[in-house]
Amino acid sequence: MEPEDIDKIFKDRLANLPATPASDAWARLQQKMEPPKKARSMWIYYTAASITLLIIAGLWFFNNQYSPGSGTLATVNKPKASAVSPLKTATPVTIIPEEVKTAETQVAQAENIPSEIKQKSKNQRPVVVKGDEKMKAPVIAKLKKPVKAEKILAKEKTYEPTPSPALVASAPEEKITLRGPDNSETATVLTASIIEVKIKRDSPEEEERSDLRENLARKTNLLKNIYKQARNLKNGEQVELASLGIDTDKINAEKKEIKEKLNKVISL
Amino acid sequence: MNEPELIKKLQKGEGKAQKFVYEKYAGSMLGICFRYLKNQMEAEEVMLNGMVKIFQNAHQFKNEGSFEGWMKRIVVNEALGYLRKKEPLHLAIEKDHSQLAASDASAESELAVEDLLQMLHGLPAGYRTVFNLYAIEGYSHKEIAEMLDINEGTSKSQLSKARALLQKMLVRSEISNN
Repeated sequence: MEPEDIDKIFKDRLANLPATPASDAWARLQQKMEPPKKARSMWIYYTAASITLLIIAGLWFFNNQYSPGSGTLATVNKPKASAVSPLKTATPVTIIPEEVKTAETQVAQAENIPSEIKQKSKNQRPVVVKGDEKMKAPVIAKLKKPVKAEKILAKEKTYEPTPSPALVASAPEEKITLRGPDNSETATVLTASIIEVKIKRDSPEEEERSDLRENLARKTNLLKNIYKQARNLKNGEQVELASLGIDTDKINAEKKEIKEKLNKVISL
Repeated sequence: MNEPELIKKLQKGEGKAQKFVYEKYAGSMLGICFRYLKNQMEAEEVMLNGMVKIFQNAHQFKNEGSFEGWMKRIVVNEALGYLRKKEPLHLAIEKDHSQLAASDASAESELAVEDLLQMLHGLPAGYRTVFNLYAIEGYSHKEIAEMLDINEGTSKSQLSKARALLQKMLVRSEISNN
């Protein structure tokens, strides 16, 4: 048998191999014809989804950036963190050199008015300006402008700079009162070792803060009580529900009421 | 409907013409796929994919040669692509096969189509592919080398090995028949 004969045998019988496709083959073929259209619609969905996501992300970012609530909250929670609230950081930072100057002039002005300070002012001035330079300067500068001052002095500020040994030595007990041009109450008290600047102003923000404090205190109290009652429960002692802010009588009354209502409904 | 008319309608994407072509040629195209692929489901899948390609690329048919030949080529290519993806063709398999055995087995013996198909399926995929392309489809070794991305020598050696194996099978079936 020649190789070509083998080829011939197979070619003759298999070249036109009869075959019948499955009955659902045409339907499947039509399904296969559709994918391009489907793919395009999917692409549209993906685009829409990603755009929506971007918008949401943008809104969220914008809110975080500019919401006034978050700004105040941050300062309220950290009353001692810094003298200047985040909202106002820009002003003091840029104007510091100028403000230091104004502070000095103000101290100089103050020198002229109360004569008793004059004697020692030469010693103290550098201490006041240097020891407190960064924190005090903006405060005094702001006192000059009442509008600005009201904004910033909403919070109580207490400064306790490190005492300078020279001061301790030279001035055992002195009191210096500084008065700004607008007569706002600025009291700089120099005691032997502590310089205190106390500025108090009534403002809604302060009320808000005290409210928050109260709230916090109440919550801690409640938490403590809950913990205590839980311990009681664990140890098998009596649990005082009243201390948890739960009124058993009230709950029982409510229970009764609900039962009555249910009974009425059933009888109807 | 004559062929040029049919092709024009097909190129316009008319569903009626597609259905007509499918009904006329699906059987023979499936037959081609059966020679390359053992599994019936796979063969049908390849045939359908080939049909989709035929319909979607009908505008590329340039009236050179017969339309049926063009369709066949697409389906064969589809089958080759499927084989390449699914199982490497193992074209490098070099098994030692004895030379064609001298046998007087008559080529005229009535062998059922199913038996022949089974023998073909008994060949390694690489041998089967080359044998199909050369002996049945009628491609030259040069064309086959291009289609399968092998060199002509490989195509020739694969063909002779396929023939040797098939002859062995033919002789064996001859003996069992007598």
